[in-house]
Amino acid sequence: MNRPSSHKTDWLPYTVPRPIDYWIRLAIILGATGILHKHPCSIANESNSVESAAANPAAYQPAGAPADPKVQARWNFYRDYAQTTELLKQITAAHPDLCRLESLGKSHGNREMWILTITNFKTLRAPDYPFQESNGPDTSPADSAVDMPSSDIDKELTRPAYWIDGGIHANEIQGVDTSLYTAWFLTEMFNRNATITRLLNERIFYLLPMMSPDSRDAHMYRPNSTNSPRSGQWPVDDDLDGLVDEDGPDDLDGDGHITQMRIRDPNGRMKSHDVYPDMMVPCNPDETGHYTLLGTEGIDNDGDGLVNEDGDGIYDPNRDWAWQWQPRYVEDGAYKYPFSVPENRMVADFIMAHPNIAGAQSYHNTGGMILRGPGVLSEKWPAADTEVFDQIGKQGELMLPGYRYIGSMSNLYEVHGAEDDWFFVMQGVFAFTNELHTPFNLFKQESKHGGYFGKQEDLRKFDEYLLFGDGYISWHAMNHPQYGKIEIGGQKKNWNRQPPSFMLEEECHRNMAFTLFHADQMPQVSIDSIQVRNSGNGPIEVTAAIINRKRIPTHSELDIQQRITPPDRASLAGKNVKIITALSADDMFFKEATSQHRASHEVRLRNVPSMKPVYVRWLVHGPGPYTVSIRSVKGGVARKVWAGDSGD
Amino acid sequence: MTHCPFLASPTSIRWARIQLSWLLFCFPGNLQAQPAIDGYRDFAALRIEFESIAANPVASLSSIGMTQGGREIPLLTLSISASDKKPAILVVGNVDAPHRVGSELAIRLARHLADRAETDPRIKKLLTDQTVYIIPCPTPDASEAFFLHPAYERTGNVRATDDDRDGVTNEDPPEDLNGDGLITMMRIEDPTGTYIPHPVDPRVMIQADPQKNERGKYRLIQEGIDNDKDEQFNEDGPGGVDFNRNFPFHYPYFESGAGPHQVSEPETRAVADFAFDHPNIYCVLTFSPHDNLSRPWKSDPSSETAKIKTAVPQADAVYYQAISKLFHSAIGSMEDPISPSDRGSFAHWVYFHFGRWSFASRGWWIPSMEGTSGGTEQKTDHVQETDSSQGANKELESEPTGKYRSDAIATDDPEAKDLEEDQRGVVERNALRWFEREGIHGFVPWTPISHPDFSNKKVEIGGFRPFLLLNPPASMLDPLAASHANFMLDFAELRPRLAISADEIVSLGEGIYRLVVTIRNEGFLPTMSSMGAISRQLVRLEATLDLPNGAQLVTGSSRVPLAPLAGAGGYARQEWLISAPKSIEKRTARITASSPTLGTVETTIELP
Repeated sequence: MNRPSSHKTDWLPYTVPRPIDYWIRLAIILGATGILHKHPCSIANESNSVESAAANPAAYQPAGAPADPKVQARWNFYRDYAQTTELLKQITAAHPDLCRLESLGKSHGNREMWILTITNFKTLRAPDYPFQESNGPDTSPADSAVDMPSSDIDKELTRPAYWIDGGIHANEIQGVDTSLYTAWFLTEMFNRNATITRLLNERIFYLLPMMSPDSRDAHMYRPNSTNSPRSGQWPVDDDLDGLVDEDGPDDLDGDGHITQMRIRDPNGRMKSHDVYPDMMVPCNPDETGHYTLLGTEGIDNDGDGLVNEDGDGIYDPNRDWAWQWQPRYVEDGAYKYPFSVPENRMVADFIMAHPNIAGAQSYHNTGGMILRGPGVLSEKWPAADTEVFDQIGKQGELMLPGYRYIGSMSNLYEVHGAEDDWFFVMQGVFAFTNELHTPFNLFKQESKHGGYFGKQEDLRKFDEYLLFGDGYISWHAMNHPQYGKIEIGGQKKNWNRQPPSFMLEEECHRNMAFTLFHADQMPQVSIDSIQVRNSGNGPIEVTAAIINRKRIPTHSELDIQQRITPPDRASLAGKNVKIITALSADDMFFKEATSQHRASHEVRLRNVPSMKPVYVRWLVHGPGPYTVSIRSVKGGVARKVWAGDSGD
Repeated sequence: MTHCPFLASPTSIRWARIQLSWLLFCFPGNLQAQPAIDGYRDFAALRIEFESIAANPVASLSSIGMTQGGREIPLLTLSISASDKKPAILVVGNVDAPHRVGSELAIRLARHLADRAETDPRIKKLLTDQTVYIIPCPTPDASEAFFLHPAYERTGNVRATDDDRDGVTNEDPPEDLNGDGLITMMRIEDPTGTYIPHPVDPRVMIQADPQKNERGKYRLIQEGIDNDKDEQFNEDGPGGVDFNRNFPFHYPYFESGAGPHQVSEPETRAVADFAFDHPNIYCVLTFSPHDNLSRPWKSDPSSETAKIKTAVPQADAVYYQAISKLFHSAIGSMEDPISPSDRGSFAHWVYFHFGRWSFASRGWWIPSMEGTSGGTEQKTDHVQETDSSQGANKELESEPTGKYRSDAIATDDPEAKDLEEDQRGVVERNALRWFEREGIHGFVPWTPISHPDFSNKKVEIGGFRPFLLLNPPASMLDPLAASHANFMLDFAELRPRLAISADEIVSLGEGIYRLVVTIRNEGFLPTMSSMGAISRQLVRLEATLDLPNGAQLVTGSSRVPLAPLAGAGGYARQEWLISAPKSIEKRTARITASSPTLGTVETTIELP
């Protein structure tokens, strides 16, 4: 949506274009306060009037995000689908040279799967020739999501790309807002901050902020708890009774939250906490309690004796990805087969059509963790690859105090079919999953025995002093059709896994910072030097050193083993140059060299590792200049010209 | 396409439109529809047959999806009355594209059943009590290779794939160097080669055995040139993904022809979605080289306790044995070739993931001829680790795999070393004897040719004509279809069948009654297989009590899930306590037992 030129801001009494008498008035006021003679920053000292401050609006910049962005945006609340759509359109309209907004398709509930591409489109360079030659009829993968002229796609594919998504588990809501914050921050800080500017010139960011849009709105506007819906909205017969989604939780007291039920029971095994009476705790073994817990709020809707056994969805969208996928009897959250969740399939098709993606982040909650695979206990990844993960992940602990980098998700519990496993093993992409929000953040200290969610007492304490009791619903009486006189109460859905308003922006920024640090470590190939040796006797030797000074290699070890990403290609060109043969080696003396006779103008390199150069030598006839190019699917492109002896 | 009898109906118009788009579609090679074996029908001719079968009132024709090549994937539904509500058998043919006999048998089976639906009482009963869904060609683009020139077996659909993962697609197909319209083999005289001619029948190439002090003399490569000069031959031809390796069970990740991931293809998705959308399917019969009817699947102790099941649970192995016996009596006993690897296979997915009984018939194979020992040893079917070199070079160093089918050609069976007689090349020699007996010109004699990549070596072209080792002469198709139909009728009578009886209604006084109902399984098969119960894919069996107005349950619920019932008399007893005061006039209670795969039975009882 375009912002109209005549907008009303908070501090201006008129809309723009402003009438002439406004300007006259302003001049009078400014003159009266002597403003025109003074430095703008001294306004605040000189005058308290709104009009005097109006002369230089928001000129003082805090460290961090700009105070006067093109797109006004608050970061202390959670955006629903409509608000997210609105913000994405605003960002795209405000930064047309940096943004492209598209939809991959529609969800079950007819919502768009918005994908935002952010890069400096103006500095995209055309490659000299198409990267993938083909003789066959159909060369592009079916269902390519991007509808652009092919030359633009070729340009785009030469730039390494980073993937960000949020909210695949819709109840893990802050991932969406973290992705949106990232989009906003990147675009607003372009040309204000050198690092961000460089990042947008060197990389492409593909952001899919809301992976599960139907359940996003369901979480917000239908009765749910902080744990639901984790699933999407495709209907599933969870209890295999032939009926679909017929018995979900019920909001018996109509407060919009799905809480817990309890009943007074003179022989119950639960009692009230000493300090926080609303909190239920188990009795000591010799103690008599007062309550029995009856489970989540609900009734037996379908008369089969069970309560809440078949609500919306049930499948876990993060058990739907192809690597190590297993059916539901092995992996409880599996849907029908890999990528049977249509929203995921659209995403996977896009990712497979963009092999330039070299890094990824998928935001979840909760617990304060930086995770990577493998998700299956028996699986082992090569040490060379896990070292790369470790270097980057460990650094995240600095930016995210209270978060732990955990190498291998199987340390938590075994997972079949997780997104970041598929990313790494089948697409060669180093992918992390951050679990946002940590109990550490409650009081900026380790919560002992707090696990992922924090100790109940700490949560209650925080609620008392910082939320003023807003986090919980006190137990209150209710009549239940099966159980009779019961009580309902518990935790609100916007508390526990979701940071409160005043903590959200920090969580967004810190996680973005780690993600951008990761993105900056994606491979970037360049030609470090070209040496030319002409002994006068025989062919001329043109030797190029190709280097990647980032921590992530152009190919992971697994990628090399399975040949997922095509080899990097180093080529030599020159007028009247005849290439006899070519060699490549990992050492500068070519002690162990590989020769390539076929198509030796374009030498295939299986990898350009981190920091250690790859050497390529052409034996040629014909004088320079020589142009050496390096093209890497995940590492970008670079070129250097050797023009004569005065050079290197 | 010589006539268009089907333009009358909307379905026909759609078919015609698809036909036109198929003509426009450019498939590499000659578009003339000339079958590799006479009497087999191409897709256009089959569609006419579908329409003809669908004219029968018990049959209907629809589509389950469209391929990338623009072909609709046909589904025939055979049923007398409401089809989706009855227990159903799904028949799928030709899951392995060169196995064209599979689609012919599936269609002829449909024709056989439809034509006799009114006259044959067994068929009439089958189609009244049950529904039969038939998908004769699930991957029609791939299986149409049978009709293309030059002819060669390939399993892939039309998706362009980079089979050798060199960054380029479809750059090195095979070539018909001797212009005979076939892709056969080349043997190149080369001391570094590992093949020698068989001492008894020198047409057959076998691996030299160094332990017998034999020296290799030939290299064996599929007919073609090295187009991209990478010293590999025909490693990346046109297409495609193999339907029968694209399913999630034991998926062959990264293998050439398996697709970018499980269920990646429109064909696979169409069939999988059809299966999931029809919870009434209790069994799937597949025509496939993965046979488990001639040699039933066996259990494996290590799989019994493993979390991920890779072999038939013990409780089900008994039934597979029994159904195999049934199959032998209907078809006749014959030792059949070993099944290929189970990786990504449809028939295995049906059982291990979809949770249904899965029966697979190879349909036909070359029988054992006297003078050559017939089949080779049986292997357990859940682990078939054949050598699957990625980007398979069409040079044969060991068991050929990849999407270019060379089933049972020039291979060595390592287990045969245990037998006294040299088993090398036994399948090929047996085939040649059979061809001779039947008068089939099945082998192209080795004939010299000059080859651009081997200018200083002797090169000969020859080998088996494609498709002939897998597909019988057309004259055999109808009898085979008829015997499979008989097997199916025999099998269908063994399905689980519910019976319900209200055994006891006892008045306890004060208007309280105790009702006891027995639900029995009178069929041979259990109400679901053991794997079905493990898989959690089947809707449960449920008993429901409908009380008259004013009556209610004292305790418990009116809908009760029942555990699976054993075969041949397994039962469950369900008890309810009912409160029905004397004032209620209508006193009939109805009890139903039902599930989509079992159908519904009901009984009523009067509350005294």
